[in-house]
Amino acid sequence: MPGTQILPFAVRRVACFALILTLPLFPACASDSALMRANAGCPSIAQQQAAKPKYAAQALAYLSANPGEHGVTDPSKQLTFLCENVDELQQKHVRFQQTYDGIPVWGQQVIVHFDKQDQATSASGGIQSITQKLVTKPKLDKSIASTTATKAAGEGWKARDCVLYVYPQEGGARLAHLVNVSKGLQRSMVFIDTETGVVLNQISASPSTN
Amino acid sequence: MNKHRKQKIWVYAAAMIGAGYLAVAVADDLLRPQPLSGLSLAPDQRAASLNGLVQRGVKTEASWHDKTKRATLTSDAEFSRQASALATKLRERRARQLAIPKPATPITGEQRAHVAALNGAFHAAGGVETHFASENGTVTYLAMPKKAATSLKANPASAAKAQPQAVAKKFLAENRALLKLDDPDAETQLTSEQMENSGQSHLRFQQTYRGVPLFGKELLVHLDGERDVYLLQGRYEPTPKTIETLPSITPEAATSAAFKDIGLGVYKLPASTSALVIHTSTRGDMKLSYKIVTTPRLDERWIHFVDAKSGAVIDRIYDVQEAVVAGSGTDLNGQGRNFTAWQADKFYLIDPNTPTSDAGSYDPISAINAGNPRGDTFILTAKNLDGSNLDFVTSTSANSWDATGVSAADNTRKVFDYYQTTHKRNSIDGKGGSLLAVIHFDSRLDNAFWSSPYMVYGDGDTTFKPLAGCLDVAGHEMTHGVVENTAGLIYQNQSGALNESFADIFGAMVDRDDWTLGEDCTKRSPFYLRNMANPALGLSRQPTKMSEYRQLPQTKDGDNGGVHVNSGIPNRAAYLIAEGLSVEGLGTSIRREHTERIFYRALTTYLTQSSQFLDARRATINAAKDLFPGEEVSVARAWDVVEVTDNSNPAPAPTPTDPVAGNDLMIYLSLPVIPTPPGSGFDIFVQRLANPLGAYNAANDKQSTATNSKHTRPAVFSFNDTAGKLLTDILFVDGTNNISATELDPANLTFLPTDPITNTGNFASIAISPEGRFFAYTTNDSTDNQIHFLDGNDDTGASDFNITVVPENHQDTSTVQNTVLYADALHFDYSSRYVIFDAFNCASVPGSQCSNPGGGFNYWSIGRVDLKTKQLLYLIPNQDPLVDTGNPVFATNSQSIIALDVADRRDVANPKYKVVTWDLEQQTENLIHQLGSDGFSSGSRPSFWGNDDFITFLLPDVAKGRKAFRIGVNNKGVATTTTPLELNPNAATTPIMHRAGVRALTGALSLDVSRLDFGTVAQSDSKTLAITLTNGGNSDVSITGINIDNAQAFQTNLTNGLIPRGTSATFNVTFLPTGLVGTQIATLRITTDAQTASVNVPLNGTATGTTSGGGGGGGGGGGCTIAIGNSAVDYGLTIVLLLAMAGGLLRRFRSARLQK
Repeated sequence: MPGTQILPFAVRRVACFALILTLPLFPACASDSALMRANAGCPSIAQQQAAKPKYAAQALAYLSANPGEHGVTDPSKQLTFLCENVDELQQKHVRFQQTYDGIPVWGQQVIVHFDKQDQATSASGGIQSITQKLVTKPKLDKSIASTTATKAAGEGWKARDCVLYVYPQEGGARLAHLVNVSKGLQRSMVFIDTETGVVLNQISASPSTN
Repeated sequence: MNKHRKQKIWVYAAAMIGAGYLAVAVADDLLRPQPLSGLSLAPDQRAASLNGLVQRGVKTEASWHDKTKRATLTSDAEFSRQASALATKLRERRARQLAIPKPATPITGEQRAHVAALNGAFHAAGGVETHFASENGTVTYLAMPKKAATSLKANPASAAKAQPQAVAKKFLAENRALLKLDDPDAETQLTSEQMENSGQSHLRFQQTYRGVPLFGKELLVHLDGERDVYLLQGRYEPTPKTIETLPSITPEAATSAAFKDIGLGVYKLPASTSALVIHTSTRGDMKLSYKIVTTPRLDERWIHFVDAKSGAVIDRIYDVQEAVVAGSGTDLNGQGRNFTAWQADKFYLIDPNTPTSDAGSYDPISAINAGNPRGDTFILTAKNLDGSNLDFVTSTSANSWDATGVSAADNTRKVFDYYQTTHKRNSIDGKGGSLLAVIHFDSRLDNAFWSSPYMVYGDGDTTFKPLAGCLDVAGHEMTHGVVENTAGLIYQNQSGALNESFADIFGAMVDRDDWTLGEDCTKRSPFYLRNMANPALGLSRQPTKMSEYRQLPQTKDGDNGGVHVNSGIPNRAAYLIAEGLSVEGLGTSIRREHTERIFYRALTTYLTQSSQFLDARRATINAAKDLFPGEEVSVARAWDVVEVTDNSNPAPAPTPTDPVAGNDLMIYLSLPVIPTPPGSGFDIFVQRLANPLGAYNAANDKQSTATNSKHTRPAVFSFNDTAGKLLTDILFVDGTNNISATELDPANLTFLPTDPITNTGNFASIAISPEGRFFAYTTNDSTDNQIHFLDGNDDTGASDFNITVVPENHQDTSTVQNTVLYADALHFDYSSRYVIFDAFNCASVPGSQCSNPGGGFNYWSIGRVDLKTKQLLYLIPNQDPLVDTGNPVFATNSQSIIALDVADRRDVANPKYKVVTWDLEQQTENLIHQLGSDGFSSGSRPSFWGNDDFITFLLPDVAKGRKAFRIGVNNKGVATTTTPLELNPNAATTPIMHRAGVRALTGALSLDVSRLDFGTVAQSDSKTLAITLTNGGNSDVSITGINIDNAQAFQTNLTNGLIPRGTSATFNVTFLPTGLVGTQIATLRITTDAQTASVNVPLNGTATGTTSGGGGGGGGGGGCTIAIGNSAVDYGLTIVLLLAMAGGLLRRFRSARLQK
């Protein structure tokens, strides 16, 4: 029934009978399963578990055979399969997300490209070398992260959801809560260090004309 | 125009959502004389509820439920009571129906098997996509790979095929198990068939049961140009089991029941029709019913379902004439536009058929209410607020609309059409997802943005008119959505600038009559926002090439690292590719038609979230090769022009360093004459080689205190102790697999006692860097295929790292799997940047797998680890596993020349063994010596010495086993002598040559200026000065970072890279004071890999708000040499650090040394 679902847009009828589209108000950091942004149209890693990719093994073998290419040194450890597709030229493309102990590393993907004859010929994208040992259990609570994030975003911003990432940066990767925040229709992403609680980065999720 | 009727179960919806409000609203409205407005209760809804009582107190023959009741409705209170009672009744009825939800029907095993079979059949083309209805398990969507639409004329093969109807029927019959239909042929009836010019056809089937139609249950079968079914859509029921198909009552009785339900007297007979149908309730219950359609008024229609057994009304649909209608209106630019609208209680700017045409009854408003619109276009308004609440854009007429809404609807459709037509992309998400445009966002907002799933348009203020009026802005925003669903470019710095650029590029491709953005909604000069042909001419000046790239902070004020600033660079590249190269005489352009396809493929296929400009260059070049082979030349040329260049231009080659002065030592292993106990390992000897080299002199060949060495190469380095005395340390792996060390005075070949350093017992091979900073080792763990690195400069151990030696080459993965079992011989180059190693590979072959002990085919290869980038490189590409390469060493003074052993077994009967040098820059091999038939059994183990003018290696000797020989080489590793000369008459193995001396590496970069003064420059102008950077030192220097702390005002085109010794690099610094006033100062900081980490160059200039002040200033002060690299190393300190890092195990050694 309408009103019982939490969906990207819900409609309420109010006393005056105006149809009003209302953005859902998520409780702060409600769910780690919340939308993984910028996943290139691929399902999230969690959704991928049941998928049976056809070319992924061959793609990993290609990366193994070209060590160091695109920063990949240990494909099976560093990469998690995201999705594969066959394009109009019958070329195949297998997309991987860099993960660290199962946690996605922000912004790091590699695509292995196959020719018509199913031969892997090249790769694009790249990953970051994570040499230090990271504690993958966040020390900082999500609710505190979301409070910090909304404060950083400014007045009127609300936390929508929260996803754990490894955030690569100069001087070493950090474990971070990515807090998606919104104000009306505007969206932003705030990365909070799960150890120190500091804001590592804030990225607009509302790309604009000007 | 697809103007099929839409229906809506209004009565139930009203009861469900707010019957209480219904009554109150109606009553209130009747109390007030003014007409109802907006989405308050609509006239049709009022009619539905209280038909006939449009004017209180007026007695007419118009109907209520019956005349008696109507006659009593003479007061507001009574009216309200009646309305409330009706609502309550409806609500209760609905509540009863909804009380027990219909459980989801699972997909049957038979259906799963059928899908699996289909997937198998279409495996090669990517399989099928299937969706099922949760309520009854029927198939709602079944898509198979679609072949190109081919006209029948052009494709006689398909013309010869069976007629579409027969093909469709055959398809339904073949898939009856999947469809849950016992006999599709008998249970469906073709109701329409459309054939397109392309040869595609679309057939609509009504579901029937024993000839009686199931109301609203249809299947659509779509055939491609070759008359193969590519898509089935359906909303239908599984074959009913037991339904009586003979009615018990007459159609007249059913009609009468329907009239009574509406409250129509039989004497006022409206037009009506009746038909026998099977009605399915929301719970899936089926009943034979009469469908009675009644039209009591022109704009009002009722459909009743009357139980054909009992005569009870089981369902009613109030048809408020909801329909897809043709709308028209005038847009923001005064242009008349035609578009699709939705008519319900009034007209909505909704197009339910874009992106997805909907079969059967479908109500987009209900769908969006429920949060799952099926691919519709909605134009919404934020009512000049922040969008927390959105309203539909509506009108009382299909031909009179808010101009902003008209523009939004028209532009959204055009962008959708562009993507579908040009790129075969179905909507923003590629899956036919809904398009939601929000207009009137915020108050006087001079911007528009994408915020998934909405494109949002401000009304403009001082700079823009309402931005919904710009087609290219719509293209820009919707492309942001496409980017989010494809490459996902992160909206910061270069990836963000690419995100912006793709949005501009496709904005300009949609609105393709110019290369400017926003020209239809910009109020200020230059009357557009950005100019892709010349980004410098935009509303805000943009860089046109990389030397103008602006480093901006990653903040909102910094435009997220300049996303709208630096997008000028890829924007211009796109323009050049399409037209500009030809226009500007820079090359040959390839037209928009090819450019857009190349950029789309690059975006969707090659780019990732963190892609940089260089990745975009490579991606577009790859896409051009894929789509339009040959045109990649133009693409590359355009990127060259904007200075996004690839490293395919050979980087400067490293140069040899200067030799170190000192004695040459040969440190070698030899078995004790009487091994005690037997098998206890090798003794270590040191032979000092005179200069010039004379005959062998036993006095210069001493046994060290080191015994019990494993048969592996020792690690050697020299240093000055705190008293300035030159000492040489020898580290080796002893018989307990620990590291032991001794130290000698190279001047007189006296040795200190050997000390054990570690006790972990897990070392296999070791190497130490020439200055003693880095230590590399492998372990004797049979499962460890890593090389471990310790950094003596970081005694926390945080800089230590491991490199997993992954296989060099995978061949056919179905039959052969490669793995590296372990790395062995290790050696550092003179600069400590690289470690070269050999790796023992295993390739699984049929019948012999590496996973089995001793299985697989083994061979040796050589690789190199870059300690700076931590990257692994195999030095001989695509090495044949029938050729072994091993025991590699760097030349003493060069990173480019190595020596190694080679065993070529390709001719199985006649394997060839040789010692060679390899030039890594030229990729050339030079034979040093052809070895005999047992040449590689233990290897010749070459090693450079002297000023890289000799190579020592082992040759077999009948009496001694192996002895050390030498051959002369030049500094390119080319042999200068042919006959090996004996170096030592004793048995020797694993010799390592060492120059006992301390190298002072000085990469000395000098700048030709000490500061840069740009003088006075107008805001609108810029000034560029050149600086030359010269490496006059004795080693190469890499620039690793460039930073200007006032990047708003100053920019440089200096890039990271190698400055070989003895070379210069000239670069520019530009003062670009756009928007700045007054004196600007900054510091250019160049970071290098030399030990003195950076060079600072003060910059200053004065910005004026008027025209150019005429230059002034100048190139700064006189020449100034800044020695930035001086890596003369305090080895004493380094050894302390080295020893500290091994966690205490090496500390004993350290303590002993510190006491000196």
